[in-house]
Amino acid sequence: MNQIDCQLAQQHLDDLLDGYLPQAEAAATALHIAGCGACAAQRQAAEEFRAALRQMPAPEPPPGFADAALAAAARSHAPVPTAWWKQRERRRPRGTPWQRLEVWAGAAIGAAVAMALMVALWGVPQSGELLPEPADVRVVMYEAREIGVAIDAGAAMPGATLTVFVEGGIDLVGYGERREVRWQTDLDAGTNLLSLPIIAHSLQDGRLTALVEHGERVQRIDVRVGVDTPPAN
Amino acid sequence: MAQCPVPDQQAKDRSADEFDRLLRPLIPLLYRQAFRWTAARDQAEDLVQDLLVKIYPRLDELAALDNVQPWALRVMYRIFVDQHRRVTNSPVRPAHELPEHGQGDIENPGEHFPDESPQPPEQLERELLGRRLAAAWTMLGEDQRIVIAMHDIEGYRLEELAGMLETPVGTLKSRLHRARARLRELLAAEPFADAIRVSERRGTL
Repeated sequence: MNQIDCQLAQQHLDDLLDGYLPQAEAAATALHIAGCGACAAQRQAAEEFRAALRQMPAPEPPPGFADAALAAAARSHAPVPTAWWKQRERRRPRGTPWQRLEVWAGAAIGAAVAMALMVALWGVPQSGELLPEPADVRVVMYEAREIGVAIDAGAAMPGATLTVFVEGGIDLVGYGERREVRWQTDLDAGTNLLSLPIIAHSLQDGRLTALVEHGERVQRIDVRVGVDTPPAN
Repeated sequence: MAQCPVPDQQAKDRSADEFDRLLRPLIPLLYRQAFRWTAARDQAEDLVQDLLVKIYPRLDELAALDNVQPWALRVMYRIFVDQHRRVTNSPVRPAHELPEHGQGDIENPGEHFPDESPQPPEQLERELLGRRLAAAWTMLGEDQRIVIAMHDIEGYRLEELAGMLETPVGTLKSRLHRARARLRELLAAEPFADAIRVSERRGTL
Protein backbone atom coordinates (compact mmCIF):
# COMPACT_ATOMS: atom_id res chain seq x y z
CA MET A 1 0.00 0.00 0.00
CA ASN A 2 1.35 3.44 -0.96
CA GLN A 3 2.03 5.81 1.87
CA ILE A 4 0.51 9.25 1.60
CA ASP A 5 1.33 12.54 3.27
CA CYS A 6 -0.87 15.01 5.16
CA GLN A 7 -1.54 17.16 2.11
CA LEU A 8 -2.82 14.26 0.06
CA ALA A 9 -4.76 12.83 3.00
CA GLN A 10 -6.58 16.12 3.48
CA GLN A 11 -7.27 16.38 -0.25
CA HIS A 12 -8.83 12.93 -0.10
CA LEU A 13 -10.77 13.54 3.09
CA ASP A 14 -14.09 14.58 1.56
CA ASP A 15 -14.00 11.76 -0.98
CA LEU A 16 -13.16 9.33 1.80
CA LEU A 17 -16.13 10.42 3.90
CA ASP A 18 -18.38 10.48 0.82
CA GLY A 19 -17.32 6.95 -0.10
CA TYR A 20 -16.04 7.99 -3.52
CA LEU A 21 -12.40 7.05 -2.99
CA PRO A 22 -11.17 3.82 -4.65
CA GLN A 23 -10.57 1.07 -2.11
CA ALA A 24 -6.76 1.18 -2.13
CA GLU A 25 -6.62 4.96 -1.75
CA ALA A 26 -9.29 4.87 0.92
CA ALA A 27 -7.30 2.35 2.92
CA ALA A 28 -4.08 4.36 2.58
CA THR A 29 -5.81 7.59 3.57
CA ALA A 30 -7.49 5.98 6.56
CA LEU A 31 -4.18 4.51 7.65
CA HIS A 32 -2.48 7.89 7.48
CA ILE A 33 -5.26 9.60 9.41
CA ALA A 34 -5.19 6.96 12.10
CA GLY A 35 -1.54 7.75 12.78
CA CYS A 36 -1.65 11.54 12.37
CA GLY A 37 -3.13 13.82 15.01
CA ALA A 38 -3.53 16.81 12.68
CA CYS A 39 -5.32 14.81 9.99
CA ALA A 40 -7.45 13.04 12.59
CA ALA A 41 -8.55 16.45 13.86
CA GLN A 42 -9.40 17.47 10.29
CA ARG A 43 -11.45 14.34 9.87
CA GLN A 44 -13.32 14.96 13.11
CA ALA A 45 -14.06 18.54 12.09
CA ALA A 46 -15.32 17.35 8.70
CA GLU A 47 -17.58 14.78 10.33
CA GLU A 48 -18.97 17.38 12.74
CA PHE A 49 -19.59 19.73 9.83
CA ARG A 50 -21.60 17.05 8.03
CA ALA A 51 -23.51 16.14 11.16
CA ALA A 52 -24.41 19.80 11.71
CA LEU A 53 -25.67 20.02 8.12
CA ARG A 54 -27.86 16.98 8.58
CA GLN A 55 -29.26 18.44 11.79
CA MET A 56 -29.92 21.87 10.32
CA PRO A 57 -33.61 22.51 10.95
CA ALA A 58 -36.05 22.71 8.08
CA PRO A 59 -39.70 23.44 8.76
CA GLU A 60 -42.57 21.12 8.05
CA PRO A 61 -45.20 22.36 5.61
CA PRO A 62 -47.71 24.64 7.33
CA PRO A 63 -50.92 22.98 8.57
CA GLY A 64 -53.35 22.37 5.76
CA PHE A 65 -50.77 22.98 3.07
CA ALA A 66 -50.82 19.46 1.64
CA ASP A 67 -54.62 19.37 1.42
CA ALA A 68 -54.82 22.79 -0.13
CA ALA A 69 -51.94 22.25 -2.55
CA LEU A 70 -53.27 18.89 -3.77
CA ALA A 71 -56.76 20.32 -4.17
CA ALA A 72 -55.41 23.32 -6.06
CA ALA A 73 -53.47 21.03 -8.40
CA ALA A 74 -56.60 19.01 -9.15
CA ARG A 75 -58.65 22.16 -9.61
CA SER A 76 -56.10 23.76 -11.88
CA HIS A 77 -56.65 20.99 -14.42
CA ALA A 78 -60.38 20.66 -14.01
CA PRO A 79 -62.38 21.69 -17.05
CA VAL A 80 -63.14 25.39 -16.84
CA PRO A 81 -66.73 25.49 -15.61
CA THR A 82 -67.56 28.41 -17.81
CA ALA A 83 -66.31 26.84 -20.99
CA TRP A 84 -69.77 26.13 -22.27
CA TRP A 85 -70.79 29.75 -22.46
CA LYS A 86 -67.81 30.62 -24.57
CA GLN A 87 -69.39 28.60 -27.35
CA ARG A 88 -72.35 30.93 -27.18
CA GLU A 89 -70.26 34.06 -26.89
CA ARG A 90 -68.10 33.73 -29.95
CA ARG A 91 -67.85 37.45 -30.46
CA ARG A 92 -65.64 37.89 -27.45
CA PRO A 93 -61.90 37.58 -27.82
CA ARG A 94 -60.51 34.33 -26.45
CA GLY A 95 -58.97 34.57 -23.04
CA THR A 96 -60.98 37.56 -21.93
CA PRO A 97 -62.68 36.87 -18.63
CA TRP A 98 -65.96 38.43 -19.62
CA GLN A 99 -69.35 36.83 -19.65
CA ARG A 100 -72.82 38.07 -20.13
CA LEU A 101 -74.37 38.46 -16.70
CA GLU A 102 -77.63 36.75 -17.58
CA VAL A 103 -75.77 33.71 -18.86
CA TRP A 104 -73.46 33.59 -15.89
CA ALA A 105 -76.09 34.25 -13.26
CA GLY A 106 -78.43 31.69 -14.72
CA ALA A 107 -75.88 28.91 -14.54
CA ALA A 108 -75.80 26.57 -11.59
CA ILE A 109 -72.10 27.19 -11.13
CA GLY A 110 -72.69 30.86 -10.52
CA ALA A 111 -73.52 30.75 -6.86
CA ALA A 112 -70.92 28.10 -6.15
CA VAL A 113 -67.90 29.86 -7.52
CA ALA A 114 -68.62 33.53 -7.02
CA MET A 115 -67.01 35.16 -4.05
CA ALA A 116 -68.57 38.52 -4.58
CA LEU A 117 -70.55 40.38 -7.14
CA MET A 118 -70.08 44.09 -7.45
CA VAL A 119 -71.92 46.20 -9.92
CA ALA A 120 -70.13 49.17 -11.31
CA LEU A 121 -72.35 51.56 -13.18
CA TRP A 122 -70.63 52.71 -16.29
CA GLY A 123 -70.76 56.42 -16.75
CA VAL A 124 -70.65 57.38 -13.09
CA PRO A 125 -68.73 60.68 -12.91
CA GLN A 126 -65.10 59.84 -12.27
CA SER A 127 -64.35 62.28 -9.52
CA GLY A 128 -62.43 60.99 -6.54
CA GLU A 129 -65.32 61.51 -4.14
CA LEU A 130 -67.67 59.42 -6.17
CA LEU A 131 -65.43 56.46 -6.73
CA PRO A 132 -67.03 53.44 -5.13
CA GLU A 133 -65.61 52.25 -1.85
CA PRO A 134 -63.44 49.16 -2.20
CA ALA A 135 -65.36 45.97 -1.68
CA ASP A 136 -64.13 43.49 0.91
CA VAL A 137 -63.93 39.76 0.33
CA ARG A 138 -62.18 37.00 2.19
CA VAL A 139 -60.48 33.93 0.76
CA VAL A 140 -58.79 30.91 2.27
CA MET A 141 -55.11 30.55 1.51
CA TYR A 142 -54.41 28.17 -1.41
CA GLU A 143 -58.08 27.92 -2.39
CA ALA A 144 -58.72 29.41 -5.78
CA ARG A 145 -61.92 31.43 -5.76
CA GLU A 146 -63.65 33.51 -8.32
CA ILE A 147 -64.58 37.15 -7.93
CA GLY A 148 -67.35 38.45 -10.09
CA VAL A 149 -67.60 42.07 -11.09
CA ALA A 150 -70.57 43.26 -13.10
CA ILE A 151 -70.20 46.27 -15.34
CA ASP A 152 -73.32 47.97 -16.64
CA ALA A 153 -72.75 49.66 -19.94
CA GLY A 154 -75.31 52.03 -21.37
CA ALA A 155 -74.23 51.26 -24.92
CA ALA A 156 -72.02 48.75 -26.67
CA MET A 157 -68.35 49.61 -26.27
CA PRO A 158 -66.19 47.77 -28.75
CA GLY A 159 -62.47 47.53 -28.07
CA ALA A 160 -62.55 48.45 -24.39
CA THR A 161 -59.39 47.83 -22.45
CA LEU A 162 -59.53 45.83 -19.26
CA THR A 163 -56.53 45.93 -16.95
CA VAL A 164 -56.37 43.97 -13.74
CA PHE A 165 -53.76 44.63 -11.07
CA VAL A 166 -53.14 42.42 -8.08
CA GLU A 167 -51.15 43.37 -4.99
CA GLY A 168 -50.21 41.61 -1.79
CA GLY A 169 -50.51 37.88 -1.21
CA ILE A 170 -52.86 37.07 -4.09
CA ASP A 171 -52.34 36.00 -7.70
CA LEU A 172 -54.63 35.72 -10.69
CA VAL A 173 -55.06 32.02 -11.36
CA GLY A 174 -53.38 31.05 -14.60
CA TYR A 175 -51.12 34.07 -14.81
CA GLY A 176 -48.29 32.97 -12.54
CA GLU A 177 -46.60 35.85 -10.79
CA ARG A 178 -47.83 38.53 -13.18
CA ARG A 179 -49.17 41.46 -11.21
CA GLU A 180 -50.81 43.16 -14.16
CA VAL A 181 -52.84 41.55 -16.93
CA ARG A 182 -54.47 43.43 -19.82
CA TRP A 183 -57.07 42.44 -22.38
CA GLN A 184 -58.86 44.14 -25.25
CA THR A 185 -62.53 43.23 -25.22
CA ASP A 186 -65.95 44.25 -26.42
CA LEU A 187 -68.50 45.39 -23.88
CA ASP A 188 -72.09 44.76 -24.76
CA ALA A 189 -74.87 47.15 -23.92
CA GLY A 190 -76.28 46.01 -20.61
CA THR A 191 -74.54 44.11 -17.88
CA ASN A 192 -71.21 42.47 -18.54
CA LEU A 193 -69.65 40.22 -15.96
CA LEU A 194 -65.98 40.12 -15.26
CA SER A 195 -65.00 36.81 -13.75
CA LEU A 196 -61.63 36.83 -12.01
CA PRO A 197 -60.29 33.68 -10.33
CA ILE A 198 -57.76 34.49 -7.63
CA ILE A 199 -55.66 32.46 -5.24
CA ALA A 200 -53.79 33.51 -2.12
CA HIS A 201 -50.30 32.12 -1.57
CA SER A 202 -49.67 33.81 1.76
CA LEU A 203 -51.61 35.28 4.63
CA GLN A 204 -50.78 38.79 3.48
CA ASP A 205 -53.95 40.67 2.54
CA GLY A 206 -54.31 41.46 -1.12
CA ARG A 207 -55.93 44.01 -3.32
CA LEU A 208 -57.38 43.57 -6.77
CA THR A 209 -58.01 46.53 -9.00
CA ALA A 210 -59.85 46.29 -12.31
CA LEU A 211 -59.63 49.20 -14.68
CA VAL A 212 -61.97 49.37 -17.65
CA GLU A 213 -61.12 52.00 -20.24
CA HIS A 214 -63.00 53.01 -23.35
CA GLY A 215 -61.94 56.15 -25.13
CA GLU A 216 -61.54 58.77 -22.47
CA ARG A 217 -63.79 57.03 -20.02
CA VAL A 218 -62.42 55.00 -17.18
CA GLN A 219 -64.15 52.81 -14.62
CA ARG A 220 -62.19 51.51 -11.67
CA ILE A 221 -63.21 48.77 -9.27
CA ASP A 222 -61.20 47.98 -6.12
CA VAL A 223 -61.51 44.84 -4.06
CA ARG A 224 -59.71 44.30 -0.76
CA VAL A 225 -58.96 40.63 -0.25
CA GLY A 226 -58.45 39.30 3.27
CA VAL A 227 -56.77 35.93 3.57
CA ASP A 228 -57.68 33.28 6.14
CA THR A 229 -55.61 30.33 7.28
CA PRO A 230 -56.74 27.01 5.81
CA PRO A 231 -58.59 24.90 8.35
CA ALA A 232 -56.45 22.25 10.01
CA ASN A 233 -57.45 18.65 9.50
CA MET B 1 -83.65 9.44 -5.88
CA ALA B 2 -79.91 9.55 -5.45
CA GLN B 3 -78.05 11.03 -8.36
CA CYS B 4 -75.31 8.97 -9.96
CA PRO B 5 -72.10 10.85 -10.68
CA VAL B 6 -71.52 11.29 -14.38
CA PRO B 7 -68.65 9.19 -15.79
CA ASP B 8 -66.40 12.22 -16.36
CA GLN B 9 -66.77 13.23 -12.75
CA GLN B 10 -65.97 9.71 -11.55
CA ALA B 11 -62.82 9.63 -13.66
CA LYS B 12 -61.81 13.02 -12.33
CA ASP B 13 -62.32 11.90 -8.75
CA ARG B 14 -60.26 8.74 -9.36
CA SER B 15 -57.44 10.83 -10.81
CA ALA B 16 -57.47 13.17 -7.84
CA ASP B 17 -57.44 10.23 -5.42
CA GLU B 18 -54.58 8.53 -7.23
CA PHE B 19 -52.59 11.75 -7.41
CA ASP B 20 -53.19 12.28 -3.71
CA ARG B 21 -52.05 8.72 -2.92
CA LEU B 22 -48.81 9.13 -4.86
CA LEU B 23 -47.85 12.66 -3.91
CA ARG B 24 -49.16 13.35 -0.43
CA PRO B 25 -46.49 11.23 1.33
CA LEU B 26 -43.79 13.16 -0.55
CA ILE B 27 -44.99 16.65 0.27
CA PRO B 28 -43.04 17.04 3.55
CA LEU B 29 -39.81 15.99 1.82
CA LEU B 30 -40.48 18.16 -1.22
CA TYR B 31 -41.25 21.10 1.03
CA ARG B 32 -38.08 20.63 3.06
CA GLN B 33 -36.04 20.44 -0.11
CA ALA B 34 -37.75 23.49 -1.56
CA PHE B 35 -37.13 25.36 1.66
CA ARG B 36 -33.46 24.45 1.66
CA TRP B 37 -33.10 25.48 -1.98
CA THR B 38 -34.89 28.79 -1.56
CA ALA B 39 -34.21 29.49 2.14
CA ALA B 40 -37.71 31.01 2.37
CA ARG B 41 -41.02 29.49 3.43
CA ASP B 42 -43.23 31.34 0.96
CA GLN B 43 -41.00 30.45 -1.97
CA ALA B 44 -40.93 26.84 -0.83
CA GLU B 45 -44.73 26.77 -0.77
CA ASP B 46 -44.89 28.30 -4.24
CA LEU B 47 -42.37 25.84 -5.59
CA VAL B 48 -44.17 22.77 -4.27
CA GLN B 49 -47.51 24.14 -5.43
CA ASP B 50 -46.11 24.81 -8.91
CA LEU B 51 -44.72 21.29 -8.99
CA LEU B 52 -48.05 19.69 -8.12
CA VAL B 53 -49.89 21.76 -10.70
CA LYS B 54 -47.33 20.88 -13.35
CA ILE B 55 -47.29 17.14 -12.78
CA TYR B 56 -51.00 16.60 -12.17
CA PRO B 57 -51.72 15.98 -15.86
CA ARG B 58 -48.89 13.41 -15.95
CA LEU B 59 -50.61 11.03 -13.59
CA ASP B 60 -50.25 8.03 -15.92
CA GLU B 61 -46.51 8.61 -16.14
CA LEU B 62 -46.31 9.02 -12.35
CA ALA B 63 -48.27 5.87 -11.65
CA ALA B 64 -45.91 3.81 -13.79
CA LEU B 65 -42.82 4.88 -11.84
CA ASP B 66 -41.17 2.61 -9.31
CA ASN B 67 -40.02 5.59 -7.31
CA VAL B 68 -41.80 8.91 -7.69
CA GLN B 69 -39.52 10.87 -5.37
CA PRO B 70 -36.47 11.41 -7.61
CA TRP B 71 -38.71 12.09 -10.58
CA ALA B 72 -40.65 14.71 -8.64
CA LEU B 73 -37.44 16.28 -7.36
CA ARG B 74 -36.10 16.48 -10.89
CA VAL B 75 -39.24 18.24 -12.11
CA MET B 76 -39.17 20.57 -9.12
CA TYR B 77 -35.56 21.40 -9.86
CA ARG B 78 -36.45 22.29 -13.45
CA ILE B 79 -39.25 24.55 -12.24
CA PHE B 80 -36.87 26.14 -9.79
CA VAL B 81 -34.31 26.76 -12.49
CA ASP B 82 -36.93 28.16 -14.87
CA GLN B 83 -38.94 30.29 -12.53
CA HIS B 84 -37.52 30.77 -9.10
CA ARG B 85 -33.81 31.15 -9.10
CA ARG B 86 -32.19 34.51 -9.36
CA VAL B 87 -30.63 35.50 -12.62
CA THR B 88 -27.24 35.83 -11.03
CA ASN B 89 -25.67 34.48 -7.92
CA SER B 90 -23.88 37.63 -6.90
CA PRO B 91 -21.99 37.35 -3.67
CA VAL B 92 -23.29 40.79 -2.81
CA ARG B 93 -26.82 40.81 -1.49
CA PRO B 94 -28.99 43.65 -0.24
CA ALA B 95 -28.71 44.10 3.48
CA HIS B 96 -32.40 43.42 4.05
CA GLU B 97 -31.99 39.95 2.56
CA LEU B 98 -29.20 38.98 4.87
CA PRO B 99 -29.99 37.14 8.06
CA GLU B 100 -29.69 39.14 11.20
CA HIS B 101 -27.15 37.99 13.67
CA GLY B 102 -28.56 35.91 16.44
CA GLN B 103 -30.64 33.96 13.96
CA GLY B 104 -30.55 30.19 14.13
CA ASP B 105 -33.16 28.86 11.73
CA ILE B 106 -32.74 29.74 8.09
CA GLU B 107 -35.69 32.05 7.86
CA ASN B 108 -36.50 32.69 11.51
CA PRO B 109 -33.21 31.84 13.05
CA GLY B 110 -34.00 33.59 16.32
CA GLU B 111 -36.29 30.70 17.15
CA HIS B 112 -33.26 28.48 17.60
CA PHE B 113 -30.93 30.86 19.37
CA PRO B 114 -29.32 28.90 22.16
CA ASP B 115 -30.57 29.95 25.55
CA GLU B 116 -28.17 31.22 28.12
CA SER B 117 -28.87 28.63 30.78
CA PRO B 118 -25.96 26.34 31.68
CA GLN B 119 -25.51 23.57 29.12
CA PRO B 120 -22.87 20.93 28.53
CA PRO B 121 -20.07 22.52 26.47
CA GLU B 122 -20.52 20.04 23.61
CA GLN B 123 -24.20 20.82 23.34
CA LEU B 124 -23.56 24.55 23.39
CA GLU B 125 -20.88 24.11 20.76
CA ARG B 126 -23.27 22.14 18.57
CA GLU B 127 -25.99 24.72 18.93
CA LEU B 128 -23.62 27.53 18.11
CA LEU B 129 -22.39 25.68 15.04
CA GLY B 130 -25.97 25.01 13.97
CA ARG B 131 -26.88 28.63 14.36
CA ARG B 132 -23.86 29.85 12.42
CA LEU B 133 -24.51 27.25 9.75
CA ALA B 134 -28.09 28.40 9.28
CA ALA B 135 -26.95 31.99 8.91
CA ALA B 136 -24.22 31.03 6.44
CA TRP B 137 -26.65 28.85 4.45
CA THR B 138 -28.60 31.83 3.16
CA MET B 139 -25.39 33.33 1.81
CA LEU B 140 -24.60 30.39 -0.44
CA GLY B 141 -25.50 30.50 -4.10
CA GLU B 142 -28.59 28.54 -5.07
CA ASP B 143 -26.59 25.91 -6.97
CA GLN B 144 -24.47 25.46 -3.88
CA ARG B 145 -27.47 25.11 -1.58
CA ILE B 146 -29.05 22.57 -3.90
CA VAL B 147 -26.03 20.31 -4.22
CA ILE B 148 -25.32 20.31 -0.48
CA ALA B 149 -28.98 19.83 0.41
CA MET B 150 -29.37 16.91 -1.96
CA HIS B 151 -26.01 15.25 -1.37
CA ASP B 152 -24.95 15.97 2.20
CA ILE B 153 -28.36 16.30 3.83
CA GLU B 154 -30.69 14.03 1.86
CA GLY B 155 -27.94 11.56 1.02
CA TYR B 156 -28.27 11.26 -2.76
CA ARG B 157 -25.16 9.98 -4.52
CA LEU B 158 -23.57 12.10 -7.22
CA GLU B 159 -24.58 9.55 -9.86
CA GLU B 160 -28.22 9.89 -8.82
CA LEU B 161 -28.00 13.66 -8.77
CA ALA B 162 -26.48 13.70 -12.24
CA GLY B 163 -29.73 12.28 -13.58
CA MET B 164 -31.99 14.41 -11.41
CA LEU B 165 -30.23 17.69 -12.03
CA GLU B 166 -29.18 16.82 -15.59
CA THR B 167 -25.61 17.80 -14.78
CA PRO B 168 -22.46 15.71 -15.27
CA VAL B 169 -21.03 13.97 -12.21
CA GLY B 170 -17.72 15.83 -12.56
CA THR B 171 -19.45 19.19 -12.58
CA LEU B 172 -21.52 18.25 -9.55
CA LYS B 173 -18.46 17.02 -7.68
CA SER B 174 -16.62 20.28 -8.30
CA ARG B 175 -19.71 22.22 -7.31
CA LEU B 176 -20.04 20.20 -4.12
CA HIS B 177 -16.43 20.79 -3.15
CA ARG B 178 -16.72 24.51 -3.85
CA ALA B 179 -19.99 24.73 -1.95
CA ARG B 180 -18.51 23.06 1.12
CA ALA B 181 -15.44 25.25 0.93
CA ARG B 182 -17.61 28.35 0.66
CA LEU B 183 -19.72 27.25 3.60
CA ARG B 184 -16.62 26.63 5.68
CA GLU B 185 -15.30 30.07 4.75
CA LEU B 186 -18.57 31.65 5.81
CA LEU B 187 -18.51 29.72 9.07
CA ALA B 188 -14.97 30.81 9.70
CA ALA B 189 -15.91 34.42 9.06
CA GLU B 190 -19.04 34.42 11.20
CA PRO B 191 -17.44 34.98 14.62
CA PHE B 192 -16.43 38.44 13.44
CA ALA B 193 -20.10 39.26 13.01
CA ASP B 194 -20.78 37.76 16.40
CA ALA B 195 -18.25 40.06 18.01
CA ILE B 196 -20.04 43.09 16.60
CA ARG B 197 -23.30 41.73 17.86
CA VAL B 198 -21.95 41.19 21.33
CA SER B 199 -20.65 44.75 21.39
CA GLU B 200 -24.06 46.05 20.39
CA ARG B 201 -25.69 44.09 23.15
CA ARG B 202 -23.32 45.54 25.65
CA GLY B 203 -24.10 49.02 24.47
CA THR B 204 -20.59 49.85 23.37
CA LEU B 205 -21.56 50.73 19.80
